Amino acid sequence: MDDLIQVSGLKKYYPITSGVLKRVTGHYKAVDDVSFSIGYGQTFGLVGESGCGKTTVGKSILRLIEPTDGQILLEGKDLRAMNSAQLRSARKDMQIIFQDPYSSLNPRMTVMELISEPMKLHNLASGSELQDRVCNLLETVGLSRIEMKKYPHEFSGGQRQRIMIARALSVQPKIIVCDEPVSALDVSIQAQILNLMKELQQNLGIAYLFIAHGMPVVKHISHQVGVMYLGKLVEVADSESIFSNCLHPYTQALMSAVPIPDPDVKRKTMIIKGEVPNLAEKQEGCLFAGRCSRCTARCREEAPILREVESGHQVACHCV
Amino acid sequence: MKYESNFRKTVKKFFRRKLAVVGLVICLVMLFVAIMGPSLSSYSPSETVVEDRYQPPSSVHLFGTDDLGRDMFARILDGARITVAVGVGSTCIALVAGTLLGLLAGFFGGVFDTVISCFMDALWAFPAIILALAINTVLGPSLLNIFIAIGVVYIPDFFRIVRSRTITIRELEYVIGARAIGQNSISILWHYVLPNMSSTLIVQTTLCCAKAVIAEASLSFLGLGVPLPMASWGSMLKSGYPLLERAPWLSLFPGICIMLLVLGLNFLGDGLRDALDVRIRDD
Amino acid sequence: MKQETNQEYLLEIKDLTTAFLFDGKPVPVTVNVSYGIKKGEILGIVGESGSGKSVTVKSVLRLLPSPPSSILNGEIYFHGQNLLTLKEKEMQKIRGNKISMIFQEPMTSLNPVYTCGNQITETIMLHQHLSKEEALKKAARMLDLVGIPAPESRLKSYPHQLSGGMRQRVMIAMALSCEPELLIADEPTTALDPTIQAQIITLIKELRDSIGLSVMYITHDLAVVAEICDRVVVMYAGMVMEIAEIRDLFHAPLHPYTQGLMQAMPRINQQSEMLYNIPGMVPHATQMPTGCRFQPRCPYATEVCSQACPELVDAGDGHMVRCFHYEKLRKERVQNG
Repeated sequence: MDDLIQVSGLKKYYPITSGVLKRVTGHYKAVDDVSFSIGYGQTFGLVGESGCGKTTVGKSILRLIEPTDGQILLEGKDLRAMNSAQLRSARKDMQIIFQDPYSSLNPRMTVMELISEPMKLHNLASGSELQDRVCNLLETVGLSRIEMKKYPHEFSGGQRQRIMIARALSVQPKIIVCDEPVSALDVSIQAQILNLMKELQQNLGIAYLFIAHGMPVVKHISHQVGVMYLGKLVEVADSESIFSNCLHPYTQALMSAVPIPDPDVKRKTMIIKGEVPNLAEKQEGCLFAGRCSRCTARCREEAPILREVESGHQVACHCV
Repeated sequence: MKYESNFRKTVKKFFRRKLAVVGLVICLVMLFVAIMGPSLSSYSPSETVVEDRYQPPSSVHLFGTDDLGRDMFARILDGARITVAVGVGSTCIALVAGTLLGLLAGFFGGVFDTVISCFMDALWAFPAIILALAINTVLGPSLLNIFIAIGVVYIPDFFRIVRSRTITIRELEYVIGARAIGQNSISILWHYVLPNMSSTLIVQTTLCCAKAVIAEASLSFLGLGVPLPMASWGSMLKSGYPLLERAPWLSLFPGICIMLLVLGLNFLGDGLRDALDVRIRDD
Repeated sequence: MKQETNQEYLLEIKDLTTAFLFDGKPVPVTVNVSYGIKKGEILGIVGESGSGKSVTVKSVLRLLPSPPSSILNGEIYFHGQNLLTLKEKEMQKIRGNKISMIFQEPMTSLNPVYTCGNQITETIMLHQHLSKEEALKKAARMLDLVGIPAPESRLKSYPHQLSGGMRQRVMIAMALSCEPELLIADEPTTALDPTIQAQIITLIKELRDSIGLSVMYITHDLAVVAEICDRVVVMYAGMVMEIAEIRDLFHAPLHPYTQGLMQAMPRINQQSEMLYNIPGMVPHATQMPTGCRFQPRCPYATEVCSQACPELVDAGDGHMVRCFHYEKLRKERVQNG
């Protein structure tokens, strides 16, 4: 089966300028040569610490940020080659939901307006049909139709996230980029939203690019997981094996830092020492080398590339 | 917890501020006077009665009479029309032009933003009254030209506020989300950016009105105000000035009216700012 | 007149009811909250937003602005002294000196225009009457204690020159600089990355072991609680629902809410298709249900639950629970092994 989305060699560099003339003196490599693909109805989890570029990847795929280089194929069509009219119609197939349910909905629009706007824009429905579809969508995400006339500030965080999901669903997208969708929610509400997202995936066959920093959440929802470190993918594998058998030293450190809700399990946290390299400077070798316990001479000279070490398990490390 | 109740909350908050209510009442009275004009008085503002020159305020002539024997109260009522018109008119020009340019510059950025911002800074750096003077001199005396002269001076006020708010709102997730569903830039500006700065604009508009009234008075005082036979409070103030010792009421009443209107607008503006600011809570 | 207090506790909160003004009327946001913390103990306070966990500890330090807040009822004993009756001047001697606090946002809790050294020495000089040099020396020692390399040079750094984890360490150093007996940590790792969170947790545990610090650790994350705490207070909608030793709580939670929270958490070491979810949401302070506050969301609720609010009772071995049906939960657990 072909993949829904194929990303290859995605790069986003921000120029660093200096002086009055704004001469470009270097590049900040927020995303550097990232490649992965997502199948129909699959969830790809993207994890990493703050500043690793995972959000930039998500926004670049939708061309909300213009990538510097790389190819993004949505069902075989190159998104980067599209003109603005083509892109606008392609947006029907891909949607995004954000972390903060307080800033992601226009406070001046009612729920009805919020959910119907995408459908109107793409001429999917009008008049009473539009109204019916908004009602259906509200029910799908577990809200009642009486809420239609209300404004976002009258809802709790979890409910707003449901509205956001309904809005994204309204154009029947094939993929939704979810940028930390549950990080701002309470545990009990988080479970409700995660269940809802899983249910929708099973019923509607939507694929997700799920960006988060909470490992247990990613593990719960993803089929495949990619770990990012300083703009690069360091490990990609299916969800089960990345959590039971992670190979990259950075992934291992990340996993060991996840608290386990059992007072009898005494985990050994691997403390990562050393300084994070400055991405604005030219880097040689592996970016993790300075903090890695298994660092060798080769690591300092040659940057490892992501390669398949087991079936479906890719790692970017010389030592594996 | 309905949206209406939110609106009501704002109204309640506004009415809890005594000064704001005072400001609102002053502004409403002034507006009423401006609309009704001289019909509120039994005298005509232009009727000259030579025997009644320099009458001090009395029960017959509430605000006295001027050097031509015209009833000052009727003239004040008539002048309200011009003063309020200049305040509102020039503010409208500043509001529309400043907001439009600010939205475009803030949203699209780039060279357009740099050029417009530079121009606005230059405009801003010019002493307002001198700028208005210059524009007025070039365009010649007419009511419309006064609107334009004062309006242009206050464009940078709106431009700056709108531009910076636009830059903030542009980066918010709901605007990025609107782009993600395929919304075009004009729509985003109109439906997403503009409504979310409406409270800032309302406050700024009120305060700008007050400044415009002062600017008009200053221009009139310099003899560059509305052309005769129109008379604003500012021009009455000026014509009464040489007679200050003989008939102080000629400049006193226009002066008080200007002060009241400006004070009222400022109170109203401050009250609106507090009432519309969700961070300020009374309870 | 000295009130009867539990000698075991360093700090004891008794029947604390704090209210906030909503539309001009005071509405209680915490009701009869009672718990204590022992010396050298790490006490976890767990709850979702709106549970009143933060309000309670801020009441302890009297950090809530009044109005809109007011303490309607209750006592807070620290060394047998009721903090609520102290004058503001006396309270200032306790704040930052005997009891100190760290917050969630290390970005905003440090003043960006002063160096770290400046801010730490200020606290030290305020409470300990040391000279500038002595205070600086002490500040360097504190930074060393919280694991900041090259402390002398770090004293000259401004907050924006430090990473999030470093800033939280500086906050802790500052909080510990006057050798407090109690540290109140309000979601200290929520804004941090997991690897940094792990480091801060380790640090707090080490400090407890080395200097016998008592810590009140407020969090919404049960996994963090399992890592660090000795005893846990579970709060919901302004009330204490359960207090238990860490093992008892995780192996045998007796309150349906605690049980629900545990099941709602995705876990890294097990795979499940769907998570358990607690239906509904935390009620607003002005719209509290009658009877037990958890009853509308509770799978065990019966008629009695909506009629009366259960008391916080001892279910054995100091395991306190506020539920009519805790015996049923206990039985079910025994049956299910």
